[in-house]
Amino acid sequence: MTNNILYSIKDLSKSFSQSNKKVTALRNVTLDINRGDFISIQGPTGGGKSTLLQMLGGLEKPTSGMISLDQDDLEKLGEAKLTNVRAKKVGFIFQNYNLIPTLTALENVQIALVPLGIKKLESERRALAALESVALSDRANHFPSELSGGQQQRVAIARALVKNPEVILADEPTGNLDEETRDQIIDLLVNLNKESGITIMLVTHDSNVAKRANKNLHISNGVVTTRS
Amino acid sequence: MFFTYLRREISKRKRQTLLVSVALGTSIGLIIVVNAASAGIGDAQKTVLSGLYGIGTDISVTKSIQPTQGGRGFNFGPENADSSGASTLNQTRLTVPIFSGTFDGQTLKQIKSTKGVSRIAATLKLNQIIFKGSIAGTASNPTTPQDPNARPRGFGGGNFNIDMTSIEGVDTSLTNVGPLSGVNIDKGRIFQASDANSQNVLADSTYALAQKIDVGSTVSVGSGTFTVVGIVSSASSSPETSANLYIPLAQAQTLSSNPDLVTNIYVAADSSSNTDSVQKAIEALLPDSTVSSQADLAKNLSGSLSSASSLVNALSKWLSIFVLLVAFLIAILFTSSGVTRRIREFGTLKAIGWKTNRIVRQIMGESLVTSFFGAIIGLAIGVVGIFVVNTIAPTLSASVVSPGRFGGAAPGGPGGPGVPGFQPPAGGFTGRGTGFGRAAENATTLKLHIGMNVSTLILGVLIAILGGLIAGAYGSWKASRLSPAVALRSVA
Repeated sequence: MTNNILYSIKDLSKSFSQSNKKVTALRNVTLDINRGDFISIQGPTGGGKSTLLQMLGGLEKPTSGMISLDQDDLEKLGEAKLTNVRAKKVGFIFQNYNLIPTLTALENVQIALVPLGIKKLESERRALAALESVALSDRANHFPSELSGGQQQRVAIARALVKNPEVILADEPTGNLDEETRDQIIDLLVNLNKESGITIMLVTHDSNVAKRANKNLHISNGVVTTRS
Repeated sequence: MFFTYLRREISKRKRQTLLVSVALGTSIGLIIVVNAASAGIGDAQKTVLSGLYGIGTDISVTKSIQPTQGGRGFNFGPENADSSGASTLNQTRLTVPIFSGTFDGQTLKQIKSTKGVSRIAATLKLNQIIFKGSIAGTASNPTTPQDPNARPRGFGGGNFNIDMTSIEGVDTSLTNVGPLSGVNIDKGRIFQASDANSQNVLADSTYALAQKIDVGSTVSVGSGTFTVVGIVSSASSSPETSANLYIPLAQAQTLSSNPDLVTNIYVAADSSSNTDSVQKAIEALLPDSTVSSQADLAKNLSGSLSSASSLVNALSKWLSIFVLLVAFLIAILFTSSGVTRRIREFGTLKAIGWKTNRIVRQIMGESLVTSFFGAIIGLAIGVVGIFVVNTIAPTLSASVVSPGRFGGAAPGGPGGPGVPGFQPPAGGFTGRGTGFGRAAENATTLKLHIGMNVSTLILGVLIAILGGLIAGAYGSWKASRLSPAVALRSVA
């Protein structure tokens, strides 16, 4: 049963100093996230959603409390080890896709394999397979500027998938997309979760998106509550 | 992926790559041209100076003295006077120039044993002055010594000619240092070691032309008669050498009654880096002498070559510093703004697991490739610039005022006893008549030619790469300090 827990979070707090004022983004958050969960995180702007996601991804360190990913205590790891954790276990998807504009779709997927030291041919094969899984193999040699928003987000999903991560952290992945494209992207994520068992944590303002998750978290003023 | 990413960044961000490359390239090109011009002008200076100084000579040693009162005049005594009191005479004097001091053989040995001295050549400079003609006397002012207390009462006129020739006694066994190292043989041959005690003479081409002498002709030097074995001219574009006639040193010493004495010592150091130390050692050894290097002599250059030299020396330093600073600043600013513009990109790379040093390597690589393009542009500008300067080939003139030479503005010595009231003109006998006094100033013109110096080109490439490294290092430093969370939050 213990092995099924991917994230274990205890009394996690995060404060920032903003204009000489202390701002608390997260307050004493305690929760466990199981492998294979598809969790949506909702809440008002500035409530702490993105901060929680960055903590889960090892991009930020907590002010207090503990957070472990697959038995790695993230709050104790140095920058080099955190980078290693991100390279191997975490896939990110951003609202603005964050693709490298000068690289093709294939190369944008391949850059996720660079930290893993995978050889060029193997890297190409895996990147093409990832693009295939998001139905974009025919656009492998297109640059981001030659792709629609939905296609760019699918490239970003392929980039997150290609390294077979433990978890995908998606920060409003459908925020810039129309409804039809939004549904396609969510379908894709749901299928990945069901078929590959990848844990997905998704920040969204969209209730229709949140409904597709099997767990819902709500964050307001840094306090996390669970909704069924 | 490193090279793919690099190639894509360079090719997709053409404007930035081009701007930084052109900025670096222009500065490198300017530096190459200015430094090549500086070297070219330096070579021109050496050419001019070597004509005066001798190729291969690093240091010259001379001594200036105050002339003794009334010791070197011509004798217009009563034994030359006719019944009307007029004096007719034909007198030759072969003397060391009046302001020149001499060195003895012991001094030569001391210089030769100085650390860092490779070889030395010594010469004895002489002036041969021939006074030929008559000086009229007057009834009221007879040229008789009957009343030694009588005051001079005026110069009674006359018809005379003063013929002056500069002679240099040289070491016939040494032609790679000293005055003979800076001459070309126009006709005949140069001296050989076997000429040491001969009565052979080399004639300056200009002097030979004026005096209508050729190889095989004979010329009189003091009481001796010498056979011309060679006609020589300066190795620089100036046709004149430093003396009218060159005779073996031993002969010059004997004829002028200066046994074992020399007036000029030419020293070659064993390496150019030792020139300063050798100069200082000789200065310490001979504190009352003038010890000058080519660098000292270059200070006496005047004319457009000197102006160009000063200009280029100033330019090569300050222009190089200025354009380099501007180019480096442009490269740094563009790299920095590139990093700022790509903050989301680097934040994303860090988020997906790229280590900071991999991002630093990527930025450094892009910066180095850009600087490499800058180096190529700089080399092209430099080569074209050098070609343009050589095509224009500006003419430079130069004149060198040499210290310790005969003539100049020093007061002339008083005449000898004989003609009351005759005084030589202030400033001594100067002029270019037959070359007497012309060694004081050596004027020449030459066309500027600047060479393609490989070390300058390599230096240009290295400077461009340094620019790239500095710009890349600054950009990398900015990127390394970037927190991925902050970068991603700023996007959000």
